[in-house]
Amino acid sequence: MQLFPCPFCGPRSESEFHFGGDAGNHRPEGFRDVTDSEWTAYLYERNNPRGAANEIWMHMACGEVFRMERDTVDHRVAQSFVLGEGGDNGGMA
Amino acid sequence: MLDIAGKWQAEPDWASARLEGRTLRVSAVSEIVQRLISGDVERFLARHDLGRDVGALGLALGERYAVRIARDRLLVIGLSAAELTDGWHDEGYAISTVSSALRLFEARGEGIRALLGRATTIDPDNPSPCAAMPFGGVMGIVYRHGDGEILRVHIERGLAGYLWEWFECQPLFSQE
Repeated sequence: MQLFPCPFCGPRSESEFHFGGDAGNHRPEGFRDVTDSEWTAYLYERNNPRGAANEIWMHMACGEVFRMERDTVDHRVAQSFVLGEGGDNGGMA
Repeated sequence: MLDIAGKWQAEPDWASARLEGRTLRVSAVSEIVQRLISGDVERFLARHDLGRDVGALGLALGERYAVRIARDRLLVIGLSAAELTDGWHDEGYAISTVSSALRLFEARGEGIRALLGRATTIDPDNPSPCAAMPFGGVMGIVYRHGDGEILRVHIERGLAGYLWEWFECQPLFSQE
């Protein structure tokens, strides 16, 4: 069992968390002015990095949505941040 | 015709439902007032003299207390509607009565730690400020009550029958 750090609850089992996508994946603004390729990039294209990753996660127990920095190779979690604190809003605004 | 209802056993009569093992007893608690507070929970706690909120496996005392279930949300027990009405309050919080939404189970006895080991992934020696956690495979609100030998578990009412069946399957109740 791997532990993920919820910024509010502290370390909890990974099974309590839900992946929310890449941090910084901002929804395109402008409605009709947004091109198909911009929508495609927003909806389907993922960073899928090898190594350091910057991601949005949700803790299903308390509902906290937060940003987490972790490594996809060794699964080490560097840190988690409350959205709006300790960094940007992760593209959630 | 396929009778899907036959796949599940009927809910027990909660007023008389009991499970007893050598080190553990479980029963349901009825007629308890449960309310959700959302918003500025620190201000709510100060204003209504509820003391500190209780987190995971924390110890709640008496019949009137608050349990933390999220950064901005409390489950408050024993706060009557006459004392504070449902809805938005200008102090910065909203109140919803959820007495019928959650079923409360109580487990008593020295087997509580073994039960926690089977039902949760929480570290009992290093719990958390938030009492919401998976319990027996479903999301629950878990803390200790009274003399500390009582474990209280609030669970969505619709899942209570499942959790009771889960309790029945535990070796803690069959090693007699």
